[in-house]
Amino acid sequence: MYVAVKGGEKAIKSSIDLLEQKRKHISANQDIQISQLIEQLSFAVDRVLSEGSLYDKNLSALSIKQAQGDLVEAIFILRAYRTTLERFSYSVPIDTSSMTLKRRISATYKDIPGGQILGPTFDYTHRLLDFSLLNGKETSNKKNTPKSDDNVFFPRVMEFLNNEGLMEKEIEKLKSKPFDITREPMKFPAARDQWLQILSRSDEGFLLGLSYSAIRGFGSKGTHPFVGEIRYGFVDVKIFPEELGFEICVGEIEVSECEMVDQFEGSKKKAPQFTRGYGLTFGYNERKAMSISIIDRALKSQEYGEEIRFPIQDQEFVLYHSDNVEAQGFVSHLKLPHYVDFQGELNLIRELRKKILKKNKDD
Amino acid sequence: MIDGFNFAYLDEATKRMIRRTILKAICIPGYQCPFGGREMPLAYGWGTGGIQVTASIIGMNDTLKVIDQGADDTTNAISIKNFFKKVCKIKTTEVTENATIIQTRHRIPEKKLSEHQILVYQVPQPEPLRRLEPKEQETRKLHAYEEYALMHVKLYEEISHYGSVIKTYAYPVRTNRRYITDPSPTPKFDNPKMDFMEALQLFGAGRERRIYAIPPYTSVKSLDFEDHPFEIQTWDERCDICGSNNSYLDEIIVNDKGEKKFICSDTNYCEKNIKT
Amino acid sequence: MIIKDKILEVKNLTHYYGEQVGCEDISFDLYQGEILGIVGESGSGKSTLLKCLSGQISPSQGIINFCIDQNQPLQDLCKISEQKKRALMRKEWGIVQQNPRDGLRLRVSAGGNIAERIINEEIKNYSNIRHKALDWMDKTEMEKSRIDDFPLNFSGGMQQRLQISKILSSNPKLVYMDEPTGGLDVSVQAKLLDTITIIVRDLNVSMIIVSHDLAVVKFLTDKLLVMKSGMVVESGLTDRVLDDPQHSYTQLLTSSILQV
Ligand SMILES: Nc1ncnc2c1ncn2[C@@H]1O[C@H](COP(=O)(O)OP(=O)(O)O)[C@@H](O)[C@H]1O
Ligand SMILES: [Mg+2]
Ligand SMILES: [Zn+2]
Repeated sequence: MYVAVKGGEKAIKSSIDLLEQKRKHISANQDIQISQLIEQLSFAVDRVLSEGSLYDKNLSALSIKQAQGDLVEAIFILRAYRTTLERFSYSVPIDTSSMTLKRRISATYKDIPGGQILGPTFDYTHRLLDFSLLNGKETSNKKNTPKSDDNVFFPRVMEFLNNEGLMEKEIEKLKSKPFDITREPMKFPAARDQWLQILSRSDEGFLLGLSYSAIRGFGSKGTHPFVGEIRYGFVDVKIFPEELGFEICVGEIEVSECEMVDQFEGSKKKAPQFTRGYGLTFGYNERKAMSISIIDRALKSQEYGEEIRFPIQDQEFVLYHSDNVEAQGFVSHLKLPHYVDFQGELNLIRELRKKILKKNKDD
Repeated sequence: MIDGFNFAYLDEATKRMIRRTILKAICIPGYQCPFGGREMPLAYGWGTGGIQVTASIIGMNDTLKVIDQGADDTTNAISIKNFFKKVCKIKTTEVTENATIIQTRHRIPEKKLSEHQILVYQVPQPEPLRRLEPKEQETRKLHAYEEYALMHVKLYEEISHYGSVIKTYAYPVRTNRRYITDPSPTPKFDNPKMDFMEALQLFGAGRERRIYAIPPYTSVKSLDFEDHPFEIQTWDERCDICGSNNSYLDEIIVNDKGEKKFICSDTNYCEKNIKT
Repeated sequence: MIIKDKILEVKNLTHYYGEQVGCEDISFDLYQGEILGIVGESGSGKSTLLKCLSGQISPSQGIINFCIDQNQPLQDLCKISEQKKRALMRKEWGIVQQNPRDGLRLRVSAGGNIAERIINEEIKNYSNIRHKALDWMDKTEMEKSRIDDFPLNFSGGMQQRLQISKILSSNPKLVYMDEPTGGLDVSVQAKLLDTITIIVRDLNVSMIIVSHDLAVVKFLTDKLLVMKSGMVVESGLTDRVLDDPQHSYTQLLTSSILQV
């Protein structure tokens, strides 16, 4: 008697054991420390906490270690953990204008009040493999103490355009409670609070490709937006407990922010104004913040009455497909057994063939 | 239970939210209720909707059966069953009639279910009209206004091109003479079991964040034309293990010449048959 | 004389695209079985007017009252629910798009395209649907053997015939056509117009047809609106307007066609 696919239980156990071994056998006496990941693979840690939408560098690093460097898997692990956490409060909106800046650049003005701050960036490195890192390098414990920026004021670049009336007004304040994508199912047509949240934890690669498509020509209007300002630094997170009646700071997070200036709108009667796109992410994720700001602008097409022609302008296309936890799950589910359905298809195709072959013979 | 996690993984507030959605779904049979689906530690597309539904309704005294492709011992069924063993230490079973909750992917058990049981389906795509209309905003209107002509056009097309409707699984049904509903990718062989089923049927779509329900004793009709009535699959062969000629059969290839045998997809049903 | 029922009443209809005038201050009535033509040069607002009338865009100002049931008072198109409007479009009204590709499902067979509007009328018998579809293909002089082919591969003229079959198969009360022969060869145009004339007269359906071709409207319509720069500059019985044009623009139009 033939008994098919018994022993799923055993197979699963062996598979998990093999996966564990895969990590361990590499070099059991040189286990990577979480602190090493945080310090030396900081961009990976930031990407995972941004897309995992849980600001915790330790847990982000832990999930990277557990996922053996598979970042999409790490994001998934972090997300799954995040769901189980109690939500004790909503913060008040962070104020990025009072950010402790590590980097701040504008592409629209040569000089700006407060100055351009290049900060740490790969932009001007030559991408040459550094073989001196190959066998481990002595790392100096001496840190470059950044000069304190506390008493320097950094006005927003977009404000200059705004004050002159050249820039479309940003929403001042939400009229209702902001949409919470972690608690409510998606709604369409989506409003900006909904899509900016979704984009903020979307797959970086997807967003990059999408924004690239827009500036290559598969986009709404202007194919060349300008970086009004990019900021990266620390910002306070505050909550407002009703019973206290005043704000208290509960911590500090690193964020990247990008404001993009886009083609102007106007007509004979309505004075033209630039339009804008905005992007914010956890951690140092400049590439992603820029992508978001381009997509944000494109998603406003509907509001501006622009023709919806390209994927980037289509809310359902962008928002339904940008989350990599959803995407990787659904793509990978094709690995699950489908033999019941396939049996149905087998029966059908044989039947249809029989019918047609018989008919052809009769003719 | 494992440290640091609530009974059945989800926190109580989330479970309440899901139960409220389930109640609403039961009140509007076949209507896809949006719900604030959560990330689960299992991947989207691997049963997160069903798992969330089960996690919200399961209690200490429940006995859980999990099947995938009709079988209790397929890897994903075991993985899900293990998950619930880990997070709520409940009893599990392979015996259909002993289960109070049966979570399933792609099959309805051959044995008739009773009023005391709940069947939880894992649903990858809850929207039966999605292949015809990609936009959610539009499909919601099509349902709301009962604009279902397009679905019948699909059937018309299949009959015109192939002589019969060629949908073999996820064959659309009309629930309670109102909503067109996706029965999840179960074979059409199982559709008649849904009609006036004694057990409550709950459908969870995790990635798409929808829950829908078919209350006990509710009419569920497979779409068809009068002159091309709905038919289920039949086999010329019998089960190679138990000899059954009325259950859904899976085809297996037994040697490298490609010789085939057929066995019941419902493993528990097959075992029962051998014993009696 | 037979007293006909009014099925459409348009008052001061105006539509702007931002500050751009689409059409301005248009009023007219349409009675059961009448065929109204709208002519005018490109950009004169014909399509805009038609889109307003058929509920595809909501006008900036003005009233569109319509009737489906003669025992009921006229209803305001702008005030009915989306559900009612969609129901109206599925059965009582039909819109023949200038580009047939916009009005057809190109990856659904010819028969399936027609079936969609027949199924709306609760016909659940496959053979009946198919016979009706074949009937309609016959009426619009299509080859019946092409019933299972996809319109994607049809010629423009065939696609337009199919679209017309599809629209008429639900027995609509009012049909809108926006330059239905626009993109076709002259010889194909003439034949298609013949077909349209015969069917439409036979069905006693009311119709509003847009064209920039005076020969078409002369041939087909009872009444005429002449548009220029968004406004109606002249209106009346087709024969009267064409034989004895009052407005200088209409005179220009008619003289240009006579020279051809
Ligand atoms: N979607 C639109 N947006 C802005 N202007 C439009 C739009 N559609 C038409 N118009 C303008 O409205 C006027 C009338 O156009 P239309 O109704 O298409 O004329 P016709 O069909 O007679 O050629 C034209 O000036 C045209 O440019
Ligand atoms: Mg036009
Ligand atoms: Zn068997």
